[in-house]
Amino acid sequence: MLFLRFFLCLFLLGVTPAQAGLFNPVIQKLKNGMTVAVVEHHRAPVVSHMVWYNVGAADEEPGKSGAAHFFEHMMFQGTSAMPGDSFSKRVQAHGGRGNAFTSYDYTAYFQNIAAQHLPMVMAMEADRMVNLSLETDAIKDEQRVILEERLTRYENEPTALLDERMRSALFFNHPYGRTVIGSMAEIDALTPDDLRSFYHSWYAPNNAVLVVTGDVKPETVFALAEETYGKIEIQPLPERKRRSAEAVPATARIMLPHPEVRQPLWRRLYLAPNLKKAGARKAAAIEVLADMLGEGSLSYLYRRLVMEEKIAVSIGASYQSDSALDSYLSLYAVPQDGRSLEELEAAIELELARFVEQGLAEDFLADTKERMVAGLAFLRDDIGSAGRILGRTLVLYGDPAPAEEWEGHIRGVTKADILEAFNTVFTDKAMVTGLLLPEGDAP
Amino acid sequence: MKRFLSLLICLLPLWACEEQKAELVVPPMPEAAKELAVSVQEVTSPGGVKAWLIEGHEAPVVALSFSFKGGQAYDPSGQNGLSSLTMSLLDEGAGDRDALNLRAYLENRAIGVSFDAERDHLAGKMHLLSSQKEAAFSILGEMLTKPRFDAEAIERMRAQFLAYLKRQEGDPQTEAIHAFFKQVFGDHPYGRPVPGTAEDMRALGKNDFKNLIRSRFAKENLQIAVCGDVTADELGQLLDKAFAALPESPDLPNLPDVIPQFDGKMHKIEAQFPQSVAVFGAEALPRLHDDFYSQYVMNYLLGGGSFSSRLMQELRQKNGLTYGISTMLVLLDKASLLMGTVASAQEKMPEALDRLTAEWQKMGEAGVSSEERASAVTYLTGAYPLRFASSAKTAAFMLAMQQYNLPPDYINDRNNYFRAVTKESIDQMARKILDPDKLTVTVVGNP
Repeated sequence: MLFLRFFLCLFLLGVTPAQAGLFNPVIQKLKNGMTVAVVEHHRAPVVSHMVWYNVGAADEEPGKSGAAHFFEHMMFQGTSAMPGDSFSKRVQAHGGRGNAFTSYDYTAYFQNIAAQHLPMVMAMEADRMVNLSLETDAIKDEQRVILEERLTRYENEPTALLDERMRSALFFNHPYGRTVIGSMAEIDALTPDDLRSFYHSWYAPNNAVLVVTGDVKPETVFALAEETYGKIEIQPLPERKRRSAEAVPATARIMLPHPEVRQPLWRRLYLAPNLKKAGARKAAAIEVLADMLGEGSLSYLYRRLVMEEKIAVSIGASYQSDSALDSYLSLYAVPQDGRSLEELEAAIELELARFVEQGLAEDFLADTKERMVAGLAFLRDDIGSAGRILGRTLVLYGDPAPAEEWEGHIRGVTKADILEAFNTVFTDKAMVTGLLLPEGDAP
Repeated sequence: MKRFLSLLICLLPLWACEEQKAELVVPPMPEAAKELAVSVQEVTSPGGVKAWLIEGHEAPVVALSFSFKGGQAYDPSGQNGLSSLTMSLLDEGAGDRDALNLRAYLENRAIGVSFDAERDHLAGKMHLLSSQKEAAFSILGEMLTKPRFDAEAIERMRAQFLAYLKRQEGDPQTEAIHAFFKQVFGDHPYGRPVPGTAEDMRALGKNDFKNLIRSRFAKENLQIAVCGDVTADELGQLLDKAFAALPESPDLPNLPDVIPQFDGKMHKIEAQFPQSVAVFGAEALPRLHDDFYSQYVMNYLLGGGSFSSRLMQELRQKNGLTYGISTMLVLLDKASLLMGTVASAQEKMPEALDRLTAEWQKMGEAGVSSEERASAVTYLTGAYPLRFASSAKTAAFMLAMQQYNLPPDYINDRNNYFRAVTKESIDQMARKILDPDKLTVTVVGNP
């Protein structure tokens, strides 16, 4: 009876009792709608403090690509209380390291720092959630930096230029069809008002998730969250236009010759459902399928095309179910010296056609699933994992279950599930093929 | 809450009024501050294999980092890439298990193994669940002493490297680094590109790989670090499984001493990219030099310290010339460098290089401020615990300590060395190293 009462008390406090999940977070929601998750990790007296906002490049207005990422940069350029670049300086001055990143569906800001400085970084993040200065001069200065970043990541990287074209073809007239960094012209055209409007629309506690991992007690984190983030008022959010975007299935082929490319590359994207559309079971099946096809040297395509046929030097496949909108399964391959990209492509298509008959064996499936879940303990050993994985899960779904229960879903995938996943993805109706070539070479 | 600048209704004259500046309110931390406390155990196995161990039983995970002295710089002339190719083959078949069997064995037990060839060392890492300790260390022993070097695996790994080298040929960042090392080290092995040269790698065969293992994998030139869910006694048994069968002494060729040459000039390589990439640097002091810590702080303030460094502030924050500029200390056995990179749009690179040179000279002549010294020391000492945030990071740190011939106590003394650095010693380092006549640059682009 005492045991039952203890559990009841935990539920009343909003604390989740320990289960056999991935990270076993303790989660609470503040009155202003902000979700706070805590994962204990006592290897070193440090914490990872990570705030995720449910807004990204996919929420940008048409013609204003790059706004979300540009804005992320401006989060480091000052509030009234922390002017200029004093945010970064203050984190560094306390022995912390931090950064941020922008994606299509979310933007995240994190610091790794000694546990005793957790209140400071919480106060600082809460401050810039609502008090950013966004001065015109600072914005103009940072614009130059972002144009340089664009050159580094795209114009100087032929592979990235190919990806950009492929993405725009797969997701034509769709929020995912642009790059997160934006085009040179649109970055250049963004105005201070664009960024201010973006900020005031999307940066609110009810649009944010906090994950703290480290040498700290959950009740400490919740109390500190009340005193910092908890003081910010809930804010109405704009209508989420991106939610209804659907990719229109079509097939495209992109060839990109480049003067500085010496090594040809082949890539392909197949449109695939995200977790919400597929459901947990099917999404897990697509993940296992991608692994069976192209994860590591035990995968089907690697064994057949690299080791046996010797037509590829390397080959791989991947799929990410955590996407607010349509996702994709991607393949890449590098041809052996002397083999053309066309030959390589024909060989890949032949093997894909053979996979169901010849590659989909019960023991191969069982082994693949075991391998996928075998290393989960390593995620718990690294202080950064929970922030990344749980943060993404909570910001996309408002629920830790997809991450916490991932292992069970993977284990439950059957041969029939794989067959169904295969037929869903490899339809040839919604795919883009990309070839990166030395200039002057035939594919 | 949205804050608005408020105008105080002052009783005093306007010139005595101040606009209210928002203040950041930081709540107190209810938990006591905890100090990092790690203790290194020096373990010697029954078979005489030595390792450093930091036990940690919070997670059922063990991380191992080890290296043999004798890396890519020791590859014979005409065989640049022997180390890389050999190390890449160690997990492609061992004992009775061919590549696929070995891969299945490792992956089914979630044993993560990787091998690498650095200029001075041949390195390996292993990441495992403590429930797989016995299996992991045993299979590691097989990989080190009974690699199969099957023809299929050799051709596959060779093809992978050749494709990688071909891809890197067109990459401006890689070109700039290769050109810099060639410029600075000339015909010394350090001047050769890592991981290797395509022509040389085409000619390598099974006997070459076997010779490398035979001559460079030995107990005397081996250093090992372990962190995680294992006790000293357990570790002793495990070390023997992996390493006891190795010969006592290596047969390393001689790696000549070298004095790196910094001609203070700019060397340009044409390439058709919209953004130019430059690599720059000068000679630095070695790891065990008395003034190393002052040098380290100096480098941190110049370009090692992310956003707060002089170079980032000047080139990125104030002038928008680059997305990133940074410097680092490259500490090789035979030479030490202070090296950096910067990428900037073609038309802006001349200005970027001018400002870089100006900052280099300025710190060399005028040194740093007390505030800069204080903030650097606070960061470097405060961030130290982050090095121990996972078993793998901890093991890697302990291995680096051994490679630099630092004692086990260093792990707890380390912050005191940094606290002892004075502004004067930093200034002295700047004068010595940041000589504008020595600043050598390679630029790839269309300058």
